[in-house]
Amino acid sequence: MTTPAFSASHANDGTNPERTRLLRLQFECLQTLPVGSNPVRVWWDQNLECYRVGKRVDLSSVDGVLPEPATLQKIKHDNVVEVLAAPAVEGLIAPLRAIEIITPYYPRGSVTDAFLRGERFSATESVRIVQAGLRGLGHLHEVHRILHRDIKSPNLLLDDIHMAKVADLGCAGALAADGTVEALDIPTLYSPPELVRTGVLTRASDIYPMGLILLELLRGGFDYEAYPKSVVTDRLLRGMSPLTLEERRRPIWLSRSLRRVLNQALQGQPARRFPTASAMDNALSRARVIDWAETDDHCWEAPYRHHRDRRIRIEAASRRKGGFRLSMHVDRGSGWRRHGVTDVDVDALDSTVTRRFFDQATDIAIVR
Amino acid sequence: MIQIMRVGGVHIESGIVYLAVIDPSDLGLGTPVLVAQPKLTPNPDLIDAEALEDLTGRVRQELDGAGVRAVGLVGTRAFKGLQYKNVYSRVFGMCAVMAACTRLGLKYETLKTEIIGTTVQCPAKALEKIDPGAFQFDRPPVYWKAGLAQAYAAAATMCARAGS
Repeated sequence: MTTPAFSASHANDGTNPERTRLLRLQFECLQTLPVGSNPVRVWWDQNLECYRVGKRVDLSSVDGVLPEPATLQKIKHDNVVEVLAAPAVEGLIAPLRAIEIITPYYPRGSVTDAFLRGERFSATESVRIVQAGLRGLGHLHEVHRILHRDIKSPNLLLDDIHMAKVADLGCAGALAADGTVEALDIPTLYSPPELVRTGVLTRASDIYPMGLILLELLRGGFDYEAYPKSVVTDRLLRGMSPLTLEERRRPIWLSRSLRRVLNQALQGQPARRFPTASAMDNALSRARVIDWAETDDHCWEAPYRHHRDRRIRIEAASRRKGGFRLSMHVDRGSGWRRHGVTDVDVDALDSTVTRRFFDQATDIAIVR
Repeated sequence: MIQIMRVGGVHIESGIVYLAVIDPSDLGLGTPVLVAQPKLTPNPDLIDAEALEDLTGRVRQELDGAGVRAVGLVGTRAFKGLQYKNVYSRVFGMCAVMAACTRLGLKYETLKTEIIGTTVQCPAKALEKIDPGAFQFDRPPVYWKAGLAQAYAAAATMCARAGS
C-alpha cells in the first residue's frame, strides 16, 4: 500500500479548505522533531466520510526507532490511538524513505489543544484522564514491550468515551530483555532527567511525563512560550527540570494522597518512581480527590463527592498583622454556615498548615 | 508451536481483589508469574458506577499485562445469613473481574471451593493453608495470608483443568 508524496490525491475535495490542514505545534518546547520533518495533517476521507489523521514518518532519519508498522497495527486498546494503515510514501528520492501512519481523527484534540482553547479540568477529570493514559501506556509496556519515549500533553488525546488515548508512536522503541531502551536525543518540556543523565530509558521514563501531565491538568497548562528549545536543553543538561519552580508548584488544595502520587511520579531517580503504569494507576485510585475551584480571591469551593447538593468552602482572610486566617464553611442547601472546625492562622498560603486545612475539608466533603 | 496456557486466579476478600498468575509447571502446582498489582482495592471515594468502571479497568490492565488466557475465581462458601454490605462488596469485585475477562476475551469460571480443595489437596474450608512451596515460593509472598493464597489455589485449579 502506498500514498503519494505531499499533495495527496485524497487530500482535498476542492470545496472546503478546512478538509485538509496541517496540525502543527506552535511551541518549540513541545516539538519532538524540527518543523516540517514529520508533518501531521488531517484530511477528509471521501469514501468513508470521516476525517483521518496522517503522520509522515521519515524512516531514513529515525532508522531502527519506529516499531514495525505491523506491530503498530496490532496494538488495540481503548486508550491507545489505533493505527489504521501505514502506507509507504511514493515519489521520494532514494535514500529517502517515509511512511504515513494513518489514525482516526479525534475532534477534541490533545490535552494541549484543550488548554490552548482555554479549557480547564476538574481534579476528578484530571485523574481520570491520566489513569486512562496510564492504561494505554501499561498496554504498550507490558503487552507489546514498547516504550513510548515521547509522552507529553500534545500526545494525549481527549476522547469522550474512553477519556484519553495515547497517540503518536513515532518515537517508540522496543524494550530489551532487561527492560531498558536507548534514549533519543529529542528533549521536550516533558523529558525525564535520565534522557541526558544516562541516555537509558525504562518504563519509569514514561511515568515521569505522565506525572507532569497530571500536574498540568490539575493546575492549568504550562506557559509553553516561555521555554524555547535551547532553555529546555540547557536545563536538562544541568540536571534540572526544564520547568520553573513556579510551574512545578502544586495547587494548595491538592490532597496529601494526590500530592504523594505526584511526588513519586516526578522523582529525579527513575528507581524511586512508580515502576509500572499500573502502580501509578492504582495509587491514583487510592488518592482522595474532590473538585476544588478558586471561586473568588482567596476563596475555594468544592462540591461534596456523594452529596452533590452540598458544598464546602475555604476562605483565607488577610490579617492586619500579616498572614491569613483560614475558615471553613458548608452549604447543605440552606446557605453557607460555618463548619465546626476552628479557624487557623497561617503566615503564608503555600504552607503545610494550609495544606492540612484543605486535607481536613477534603475528608469532610468526601464522606458518603 | 505449543503455547503455554498461562492462567489467573482471583479471590475476593472483604471486597478486595487478590490476583495470582501462574504458568503450568512440572514442579509443584505451577510457576508464579510476577503481577504488578496483586491486590486491587475498589476506590471508595468514587460513586459506585464510576468505581466499578475504575476497578474493571485496573483488573483488566493486570490481566492484559500478565497475558493470561483463562481466569478462575474462588466461589463463596457463605450462602446463609448474608449481610447485604458484605454481599455487595463481593459481587462488586466479581462484576469487575467478569467484565474485565469479557473485554479481553478470556475464559472465566467461578470455582467451587471443594473442587479447588481437591485439586490442590487442601481442605476446601481452609484454602489459605495451602503450602506456598507448592508454587516454588521460599516464603509466603506479600498478601499471602490476606487472600493471595486462595487466588493461587484457584489459578492452580484452572491450570490443572487446562492440562486435563
